Amino acid sequence: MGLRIEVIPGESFLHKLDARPKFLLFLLITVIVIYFTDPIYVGAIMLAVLLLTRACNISIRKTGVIVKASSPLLIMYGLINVVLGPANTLAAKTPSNILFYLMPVMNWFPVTPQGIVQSVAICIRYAIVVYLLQPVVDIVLALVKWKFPSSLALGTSIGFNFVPVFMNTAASIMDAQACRGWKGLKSGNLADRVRALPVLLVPLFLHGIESAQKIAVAIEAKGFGYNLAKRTYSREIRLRTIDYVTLAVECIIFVVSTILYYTGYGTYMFTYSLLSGLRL
Amino acid sequence: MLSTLESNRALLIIMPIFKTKEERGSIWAFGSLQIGYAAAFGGLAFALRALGIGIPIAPGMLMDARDVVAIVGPAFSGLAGAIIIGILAALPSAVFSVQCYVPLTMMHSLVFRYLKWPWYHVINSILLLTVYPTWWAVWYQIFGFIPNFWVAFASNLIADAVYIPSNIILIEILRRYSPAAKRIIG
Amino acid sequence: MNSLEFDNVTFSYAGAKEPALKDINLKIPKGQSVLIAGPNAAGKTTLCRCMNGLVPHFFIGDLNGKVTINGINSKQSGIGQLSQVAGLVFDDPTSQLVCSTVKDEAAFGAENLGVSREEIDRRVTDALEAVRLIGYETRIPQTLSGGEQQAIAIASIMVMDPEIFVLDEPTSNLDPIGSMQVLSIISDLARKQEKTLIVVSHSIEHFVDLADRIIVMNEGRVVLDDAPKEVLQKTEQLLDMGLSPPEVTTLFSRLRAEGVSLGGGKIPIRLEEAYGALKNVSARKAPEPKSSAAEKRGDVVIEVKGVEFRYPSSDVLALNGINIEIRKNEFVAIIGQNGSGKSTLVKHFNGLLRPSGGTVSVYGLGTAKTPVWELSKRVGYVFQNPDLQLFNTTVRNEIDFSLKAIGMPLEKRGDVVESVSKRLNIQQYLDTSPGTLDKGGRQRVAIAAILAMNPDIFVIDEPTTGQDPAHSRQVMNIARELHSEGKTIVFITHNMEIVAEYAPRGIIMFHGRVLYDGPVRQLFQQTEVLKESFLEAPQMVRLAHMLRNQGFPSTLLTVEEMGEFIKQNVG
Repeated sequence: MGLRIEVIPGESFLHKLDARPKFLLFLLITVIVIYFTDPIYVGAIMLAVLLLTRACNISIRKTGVIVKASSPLLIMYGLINVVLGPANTLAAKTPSNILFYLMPVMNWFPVTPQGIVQSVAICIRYAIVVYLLQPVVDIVLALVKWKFPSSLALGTSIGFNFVPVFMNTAASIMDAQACRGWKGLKSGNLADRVRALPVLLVPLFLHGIESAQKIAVAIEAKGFGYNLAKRTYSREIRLRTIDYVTLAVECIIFVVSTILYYTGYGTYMFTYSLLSGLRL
Repeated sequence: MLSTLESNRALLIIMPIFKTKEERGSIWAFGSLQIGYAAAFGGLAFALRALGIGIPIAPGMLMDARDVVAIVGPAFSGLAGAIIIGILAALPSAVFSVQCYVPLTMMHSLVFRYLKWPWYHVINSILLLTVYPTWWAVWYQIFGFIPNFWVAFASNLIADAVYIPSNIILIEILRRYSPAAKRIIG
Repeated sequence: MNSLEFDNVTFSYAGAKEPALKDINLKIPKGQSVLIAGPNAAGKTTLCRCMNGLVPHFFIGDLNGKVTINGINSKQSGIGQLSQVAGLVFDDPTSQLVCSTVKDEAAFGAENLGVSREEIDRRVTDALEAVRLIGYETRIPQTLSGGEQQAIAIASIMVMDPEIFVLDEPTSNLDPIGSMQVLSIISDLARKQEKTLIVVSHSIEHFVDLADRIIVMNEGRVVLDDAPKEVLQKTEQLLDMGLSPPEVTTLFSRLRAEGVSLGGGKIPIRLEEAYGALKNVSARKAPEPKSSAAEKRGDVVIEVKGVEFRYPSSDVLALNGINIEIRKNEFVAIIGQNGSGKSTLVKHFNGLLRPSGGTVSVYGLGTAKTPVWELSKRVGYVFQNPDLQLFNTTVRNEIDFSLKAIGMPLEKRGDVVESVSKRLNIQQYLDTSPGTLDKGGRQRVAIAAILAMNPDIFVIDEPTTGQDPAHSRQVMNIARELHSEGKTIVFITHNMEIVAEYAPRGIIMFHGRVLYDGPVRQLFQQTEVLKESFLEAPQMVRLAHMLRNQGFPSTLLTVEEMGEFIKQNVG
C-alpha cells in the first residue's frame, strides 16, 4: 500500500489549464462538497468529477486505488455518522422514525432512515475528498507560479521533489534494521511499537538533517538569495482564454452552490422526502 | 541578604525556562538552511504518509509517523519553514488537512524557539492533549466525517497521547546522538 | 590574472579543535586543470568550499589569509556574486538537484542571477547539448541514473557561465558507465571550453591525462604540488597516505625499490608508457601465477534456482533466470553496473526480497516463508551506508541492540560486545555516541553490530562506492580476516582492482542475467563479456594482455603478481 504521486501525462483540457485555475477548481469541489449533505447532490458532484477524469483520458481505476485503500476509514466514518449524525439524532427524537437499535438490549444507538441517508452522503463526500489527492502536484506548481514568497514556494517544491528520495531512504532503513533483527512496527503490543519507532525515525531524521544541509549548500552555490527582487522565471506565467473561461465557470458554480446552501436545499431532507414519497 | 537570595531564586526559576536571544536568533531567519530543513522534513513527512508507516493502535486507527515529523521538524526550520512542513505533511491527505497542519506546525516551531529543555517537552505535551485534538475535531466537524465533537476529540486524543512518548524519545536520542541537533533544538 | 589565489589561508570551522586548512598558498592560472587528491579529512572539500565563498559565508568559522577568486576577495563578496565566477558540483548526485524537471534544474542558477528569459533558454539548450542530454527537458531529475544526474548538475553550472568549475568527487558515487559519461563531459570542459577546472577525486588513474597539475593535501596542508608526472614519482609517499596511484606507477615504484630498474627514466604514469618500458622484456620462463587450486569444495550454503524477480511497480524483470550456488567459505564478488541486478540478487539471500519465480534457500531453508530477522542470524548484511542503521546514544547500546533483537540472554551479551568491539578497534568508544565518530568509525560500529550476531555468511553491499581507497581496504581486510576464519563472504562492487585483489570467484551481472560465473583469473579474459557490460579490467590485467606476445601470462591480476613475474624474468 502506498501512494504514488505522479504527473499523468496527456494533452486534455485539464492538462492545458494553468495550474492556478486547476488548483481553484479542486478547492472549489472540496468546498461545495462541504455545503451539501444530501446523497443525490453529493453524488452528482462525484459523477461530475468522474466524468471530468474520464474526459481527460485519465484511468479512473488507477486514481481510484487510493479510495479503495482508504475504505476502512470510509466505512468507519459512515457508521459513526449513521449513529451520531445530526440527521439521526434529530430524527430519533420521534420514535416512529426508528428502524432498529444497534444494541437492542439496552436500546442504545438508534438508527433512522434519515441517518442512513445522510451517512451515505458523508461517505461519498469522503470518497471525493480522498480522490482529489492526484492534483497535489498541481497545488505545488500553483504555489510556485503565484509568486508565493519565492522562498516558501521554492522550499515546498524542493520538499515535494525529495519525497521519492525519502521514501527510498525510509524503505532502506527498514530493510537495514531488519537485518539486525528488528521486527518492524507491527509486532508486539503498543508499548513495543512505540519503542520500535525511534529505530526508524532516528536514522531518518539524521538523514533529513544531512539532506537539509546539502540542499542548502546546493541552492546557495547556485546563487539563491543573490537578488530575490530581480529574479527571473523561465516558465511562462500567463493566463489564456481557457483559463479565464474556467475561472468564470468556477465562480458561477460557487455562487449557485452558496445560494442553494443558504436556502436550505441540498440537505439530506431532499433525498429523504423523495424516498418517503416513494414508500408511501 | 534574604531578599537578594529570594529574588535570585526567582530568577533562577525563570531563566532556565526561556531561551536567551543569542540561543534563538531572529524569528524571521529564513535563509537557505531553513529552507533546506523545511524541505527535508516536509518531504520526510509526506514520504512517511505515502508509505503508510505508522503504529496501528486499534483496527482502523493508525498513528501516523508523519505527525511526529510535523512536531519535531519545526524545531529546525523556524516559523516560515514550519509553514512549508505543514503544507507538505498535509498534502497526502488531500487539500483538506492543510489548514489543520499549518497552524499546528507553526505553534510547535514557536514552542521550540522560545523554550529551553525540558520545558518544551512539557508545553508540547500539554498542547498535544488540548489544542491539537480540539483543532482536528473542529475540522472533522466541518467536513462532517465525525459529527459529534467529543467523539472526534476523544479519537484524536488517543492518537495524540501516543505521540507524546514518541516525540520525547526521539528528541532525547537526537540530542544525545548529534551535537548539531543539540545545538539547534537546545 | 589568476583564476584562484590562496594567500596564507588558514581556516577552522566554528567549534572545531583543529584547523581544516593550514597555511595554504596556491596560485591557479586561468584555464588550468587541476586534480586535488588526498586522504579523508585532508581538507579537500573545505578547499573547494573556499572557492565560491561557501567558506566563510555559509560555513561559519575563522578564515585567516586571503582567498581571491577571479580578482574578487571572497570575504568581501557574497556567495551569490561569487557563484557567477565559480560553480560547484558535489559528490552526491541526488541531493544537489532541487527542481521538478531537467529544464528547470538547468535554468535554476541563471534564474537566481536575474538572467533574461531568452538568454536562459539559449544557454540551457547549449548546455544540455554539451552534456548530451537533449530530449530530457521534461524528465524528472530524481528518476535519472547517477551519471545523468551529475551531467545535469554540470549543465546547470554551465548555464550560469562561470569561469571556474569546481567538482568535488564527481564520480565517486557513480558506476562505471556513469563515470565514463561524466569524465567525457569534464574533458570537454577542459579542452574545448578552456575553463579553469578543479577536480577532487580518488581515482587518479582517470584524471592523469586530463590534469595539468596535481595538488596533494594531507591534514589540511598542501604536501605536493606539481605536474602529474612529477607528483606521481613520489609513489611511496602517496601510498603511505592511503592514496591509489595508477597501478603501473605502483608497479614500477616497487620494482625500483627492489633494484629492478627497467631502463631508468621516470616512473611511467600511463599504461602506454609502462608498455613502452616493458615491451623489450621477453619472458624466459612463464610460470603460471599460483591459482587457487581446486580446493576441497564445501557444501552449498546458498542455492539460487531459476530465480526471477520483478519489482512491484515495474514490468521489467530485474532478475531473469538466475542459477547460482554459493559454497561454504567462498569469497565471491558480484560485479555489474547499477541496475544490473546485483543488489537485487543479494537481497534475496536474507529474505529482504522474495523471488517472483524460482527458489532461494539458505542452509537448506527456503527464504520465501522465513522472516528477515530469522535469516539474519545466519546471513549478515553489511549495508553501504552505516548511518542508515545507527540510532543509539552509545556504541555499546548499538551493538547490544542486535543481540537483544535476536534473543541473546543478558549474561552473554556483555562479553560479546566487548570482544567484537576489541576486534574492530572501537573499544575505546563504547560509551560515546556513534555520532561523534568519523565515517570509518561509524562503519566499524555498524559492522560490529552485524558481527556480534555471528552469522556464517556475510554479504557486503558496495564497500568501495563513495569511499576513499583506505577506507574500502579497511572493510575488505576485515572481510578477508573473516574469510580466513571460515566465513563465507559475498560482496558487491564495480571496482575491478578490489575484485582482482580479494576475490577468487567473480560473478558478472548485466540486465538481470548472469554473464559469467567462475574464477576471477578467467573472468578478466572474457573481453567480450567485459565489453558488453561496460566493465574495464584493472590496469595490470590490461598491461599483461598487451604484453602477451612477449610471453607474459595474461592471467596476471595484481601489482604483486606482475612484480613477482617481472623480477623472475629480468635480471
